[in-house]
Amino acid sequence: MSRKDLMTQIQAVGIMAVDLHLYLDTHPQNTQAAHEYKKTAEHLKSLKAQYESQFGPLVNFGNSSSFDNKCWINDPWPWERQ
Amino acid sequence: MIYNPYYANSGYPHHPNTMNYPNPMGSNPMQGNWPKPTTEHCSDEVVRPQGNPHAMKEEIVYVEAGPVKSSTVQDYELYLMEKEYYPKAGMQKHGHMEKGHHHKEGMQQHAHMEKGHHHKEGMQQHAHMDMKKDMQLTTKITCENLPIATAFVRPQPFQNLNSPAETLQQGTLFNDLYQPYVARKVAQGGRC
Repeated sequence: MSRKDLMTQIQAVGIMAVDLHLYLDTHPQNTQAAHEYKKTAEHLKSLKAQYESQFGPLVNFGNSSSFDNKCWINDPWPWERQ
Repeated sequence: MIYNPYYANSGYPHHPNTMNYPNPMGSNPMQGNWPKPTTEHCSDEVVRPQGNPHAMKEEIVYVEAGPVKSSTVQDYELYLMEKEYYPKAGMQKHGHMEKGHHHKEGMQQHAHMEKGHHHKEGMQQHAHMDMKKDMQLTTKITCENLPIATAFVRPQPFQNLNSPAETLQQGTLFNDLYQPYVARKVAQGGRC
């Protein structure tokens, strides 16, 4: 999977996780939603780990599983992406 | 040079860029002939309290809404039933009466009367119900007898979930919540 595709996948699954979390705020007894959230969160975690292992850190300040300073500095910043 | 009415003839020091000439509206801009708010454009349907401002509680402001101007309480209750704002028990009761059971009960009551049993209390109650029904038919909806508004949000079902790609495109996991704005021509009833 290309870097762009992987980032798109992370963004899409990230929105799913946020929406499921919001749904569980108002429907805490819904076991199906809780199961779906757990599955989505694990999927998001694995996607982030895959991205970081292939292309460098996604976030800084102690949240990343691996940190490569050169990668972090030289990566295109959000406003530099075409 | 800018004329500043708040400083003209007021005795206050003038800004160096303002001219000091007499104010045509009077010395004090707050008491001169400055434009004042007008109520001419207000609707006649609104009765505004006059005199003592502390008498606000005694005054009633009548604002009749257009769509319910000629409606009755019964019309409104039927509307609520149609929209299922009332529980189904109410609908069953309504249907029960439609099926002719009400008529059957009336026949039974009539038969009892023929046999000489005077159900005085029952008749009074029946008359009271009729009177109440008549009142409902003739009472017009006003601000005073309308039910208090209650905000209600239907519980969102956990269904019709989007795929990751659809979620990113629609901005929501729930397909039921995706209602994009579609421009419609108001002149054509907003339907096309």
